Amino acid sequence: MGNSAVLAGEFTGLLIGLLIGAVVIIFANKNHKIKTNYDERQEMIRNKGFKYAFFALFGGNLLIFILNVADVELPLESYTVQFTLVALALVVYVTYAIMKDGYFGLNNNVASYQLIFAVLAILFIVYAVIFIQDKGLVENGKVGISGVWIINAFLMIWISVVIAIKQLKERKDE
Amino acid sequence: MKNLRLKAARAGLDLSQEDLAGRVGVSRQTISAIEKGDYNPTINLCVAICKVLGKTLDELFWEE
Repeated sequence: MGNSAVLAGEFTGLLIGLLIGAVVIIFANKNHKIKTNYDERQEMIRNKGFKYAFFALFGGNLLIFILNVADVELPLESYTVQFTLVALALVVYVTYAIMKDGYFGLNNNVASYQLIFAVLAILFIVYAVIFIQDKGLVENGKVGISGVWIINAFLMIWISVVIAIKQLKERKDE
Repeated sequence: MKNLRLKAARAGLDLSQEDLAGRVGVSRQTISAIEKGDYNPTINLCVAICKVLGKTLDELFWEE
């Protein structure tokens, strides 16, 4: 990848980060404060979620360690493997926290966050398609950067679906 | 164990779970979890709920 492409990527990433930050501050938090407020039960749920995510990450790393010791060659670049493990931990945390009502704080506007996740999902799908067209899914026999974008897209789609399921459940309960 | 006394006291003041949650400063789901008996609130939250509903801790949270 050329220097200009790396610079363009970093610039795009920075812009997206700033955009998300601005949207969160302006629209997604009802009181326009950066800090999200959680009540005591939500804090407890979040802590439990972090614990389960840690165990998922630990278990995943243990599995990779065992595979390495057994000389099993994975068809994934090492950074894709690490990213997959982080994504796994995120999936565990987000799913648990959303389903137990600990993910969104008291001052969060859930609809705005839903929109952010949906936009990010579309953006990451587009990036994944661009990278697959440009570099292919497999480089030198291993899934590389294209795989990372696919995982990113999967994460955003997963979060959007879990939020939708939770909202349906909420409506039923009410 | 379900906290029916809390539910009754809230309904007595014609407050929804959302209303009570807003006045106490917690989420609606937290009030729902307390009423269902799925969550044991801290003493601080119990006191806050009692103040809003005009009840004592014994009346709302003491198990006979």
